[in-house]
Amino acid sequence: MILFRSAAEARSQLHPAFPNLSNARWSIRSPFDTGYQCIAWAACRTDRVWWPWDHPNFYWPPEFGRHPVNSAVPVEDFVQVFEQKFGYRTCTSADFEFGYQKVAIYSDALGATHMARQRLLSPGWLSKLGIQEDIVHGELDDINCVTYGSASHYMKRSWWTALCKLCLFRGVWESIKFGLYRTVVRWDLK
Amino acid sequence: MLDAQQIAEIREMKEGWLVPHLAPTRAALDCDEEIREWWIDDESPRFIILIAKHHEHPEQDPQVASTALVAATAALEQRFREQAEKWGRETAHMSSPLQKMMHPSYQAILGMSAESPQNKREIIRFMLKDLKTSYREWSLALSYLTQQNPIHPKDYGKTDKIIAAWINWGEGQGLV
Repeated sequence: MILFRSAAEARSQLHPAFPNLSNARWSIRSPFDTGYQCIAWAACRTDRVWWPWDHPNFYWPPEFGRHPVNSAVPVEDFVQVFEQKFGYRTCTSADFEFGYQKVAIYSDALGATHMARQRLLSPGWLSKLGIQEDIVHGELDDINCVTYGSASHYMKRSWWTALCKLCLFRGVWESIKFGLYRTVVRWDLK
Repeated sequence: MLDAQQIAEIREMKEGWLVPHLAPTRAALDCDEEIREWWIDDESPRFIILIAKHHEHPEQDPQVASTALVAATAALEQRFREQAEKWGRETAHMSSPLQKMMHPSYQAILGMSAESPQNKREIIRFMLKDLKTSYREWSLALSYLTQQNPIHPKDYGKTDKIIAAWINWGEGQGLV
């Protein structure tokens, strides 16, 4: 289900959940879409919900292990998939580095909660907030909250690796698609 | 509009913790604030007691229990809707399904389904109905309550296909 919510409506839902957004610069990039969430978006996919639970609700690359429903998922599960399938390597800094693409994994005491992907050509992060909109936010801390905790693990890969893994094409295509949405649907993003 | 005698009869039923054979009409609800509050507010415990009384004394008019069941179902749906809306609103930003499932409203809904086999069937029906009209994700709860998996493996993770599969399943079971 796709909803073109106005920015005012989105803000009224997002600000209470993410208090830091009230004082941050951020913008909406896509409509509200139940078809994917942050993990899929970090992997440049928008066609499925990704989560390593052994349940039909979720896709997880079949070559990797899954957890039973109701169990917490450690950050290491996401690290393993993003290393082996998408060519990322663990790094120590979230700063923008020209020629590299980064992802950040958020976690709390129970395990992984969220992932954000760094923009390709400029500083800033792309986050799909659950089933709500994708947003661009300047800092990882902008979406720290009770449910997400904070970014605890960073990974990076070169643009060349991203190109080889087709993520660049998918990312560019999604940007074009969202750009078309914004142009054609012209929903209120102010 | 009800006359004074009819309103007096309904008041008498209220005082005796009885329900009329038919639910108060909209006219009654519109014309008498006291009756409206009695009927609408906090009705579930009253109906649970009435159903229990009916089971103790089945020789009593079965229509009483039947009416009470209809009203109890309406009350259950109202409770479901309130919790479902709260759950949807407060978890829409979450990605972790564990966090979504730990939300008190989700647990409250599962609790409602555990109250009786009839409630469980009704909650499943409400979830299927809700799937058609909202963005709320009931697939995890449905698979837990029904112990079924109508989703084809190639559609794992695809929300639209998952919803369609559950609605098809519900139609097959006569639930939607």
